[in-house]
Amino acid sequence: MLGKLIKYEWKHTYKAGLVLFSALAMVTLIGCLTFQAPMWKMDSPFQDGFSVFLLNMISVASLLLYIFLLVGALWSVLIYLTVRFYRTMYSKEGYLLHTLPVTKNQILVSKILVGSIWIFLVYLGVFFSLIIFGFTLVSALSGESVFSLMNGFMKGLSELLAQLSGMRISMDHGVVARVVFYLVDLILAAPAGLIMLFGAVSMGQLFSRHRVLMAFLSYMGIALVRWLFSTALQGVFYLGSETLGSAEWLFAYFDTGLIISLIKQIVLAVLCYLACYFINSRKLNLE
Amino acid sequence: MEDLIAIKNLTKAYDSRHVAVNDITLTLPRGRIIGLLGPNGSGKTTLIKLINGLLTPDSGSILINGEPVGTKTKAHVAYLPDRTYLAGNRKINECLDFFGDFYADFSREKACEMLSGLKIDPAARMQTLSKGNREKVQLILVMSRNADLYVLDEPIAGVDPAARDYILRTIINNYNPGATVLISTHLIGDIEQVLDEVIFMRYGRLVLYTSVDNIREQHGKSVDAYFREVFAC
Repeated sequence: MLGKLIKYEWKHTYKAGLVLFSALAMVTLIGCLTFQAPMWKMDSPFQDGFSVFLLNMISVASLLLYIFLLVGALWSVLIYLTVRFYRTMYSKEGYLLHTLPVTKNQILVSKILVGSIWIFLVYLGVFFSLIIFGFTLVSALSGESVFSLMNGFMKGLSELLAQLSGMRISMDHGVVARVVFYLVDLILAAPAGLIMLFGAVSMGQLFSRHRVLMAFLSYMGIALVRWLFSTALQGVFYLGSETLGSAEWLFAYFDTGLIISLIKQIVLAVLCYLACYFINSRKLNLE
Repeated sequence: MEDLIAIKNLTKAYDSRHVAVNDITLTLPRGRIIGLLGPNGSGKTTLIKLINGLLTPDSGSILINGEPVGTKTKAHVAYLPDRTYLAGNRKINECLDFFGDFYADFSREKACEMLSGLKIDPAARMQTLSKGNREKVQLILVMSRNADLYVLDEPIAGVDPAARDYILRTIINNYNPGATVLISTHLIGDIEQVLDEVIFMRYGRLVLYTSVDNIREQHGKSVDAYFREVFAC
């Protein structure tokens, strides 16, 4: 049954995903067109005049729009998944979902899994958009074509990888551990963030009135707990440190921050998942 | 034979002043069409939601086929809520696929036959259908299951008399004869002729559970007339 739930969750979300990716492509195009304005071309013969001023203003506006929409894309996927979770779990569509012969764990896992995949995909989309944007910016400033810049970048990257593979025996284990930690932290961020949002929506259901408002306040509460948790742990580290300000202290500070972030994400995600499960199996009260 | 539903001391309150279902104890047999009757706010929908696991009881228990409400019971209960629970942008075909995937007792053939009888295009999206047709599609999906228990919450409310006749015919012609059909309504006159038994509820309490024949024999009245007498304002 889990496979079927995942299949339908994917089927019911992919159209919104395609719309988001199309929007992302459009936004990237707008961002890249920004650099066609004269202000980016140092040797342009047309540096004065109202039309040039207007083009430059449009360029700046497009640049701001690009940044705004890129941040919007990251937020919109989270908002979409949260609203969909509420709609399918706790509004009239919940009447169908909760009468299916499936367990609450299967429902939650399917939603978290598919939602996390979408967040990863959007993060990847944003990453590639920034790469394209970056190449276009360098191309506008240097006068080189985007393709030759990309070729140069790929060459440099392959050389770096070759060097790193030659160094692997002598590489400091601490560096590898840090990279692994960063990657795990990054990968866990999507499902953990989503579970916290789902947890907040579910906590809102514990109230007989104003459930959406209560869900919002619950999320504020979770965010506060998250902040207090990391602040308290970092405070303990800071106060306990004897070599304050030294290079070792700086490394230890970042390492501790990383570990705290990882622990914080895992602990809060587990707690929010348990809250979701408990509310759905013991406290479900569809209006 | 074991009772199909065994409800014991069931209570559900939305808040301290509003007890929707108040200490109900009831057993329902197999193979009956039972009317769940009562004025608005009597607790009919709450009881139905509790049977389907959409609400959590404050106290008491419900057993269906000897099992507490959960994954196992949901595989054998076909539920028609008092609202449209299918998303508007879904095509009917997609809904058929969905029911076929999740309910082992769903007959796609039967559903397609009923849709074709109503000349409803399975490629149509739910949001393009009239309210009456949306309700009919939901009913067709529910009645195309070979369930042990059909729970229908206000299936004839808000539709025209012709649609009511169609809905009642669909229920009578398509339910599994070994199963029980629990129909909640306050339109008793329209449904009376199909009922074997009735449950009267008021203020969340069970007022009466008896057979339709019993009401006619003992009180010399139709269920509708007797209901009006019992619930006279």
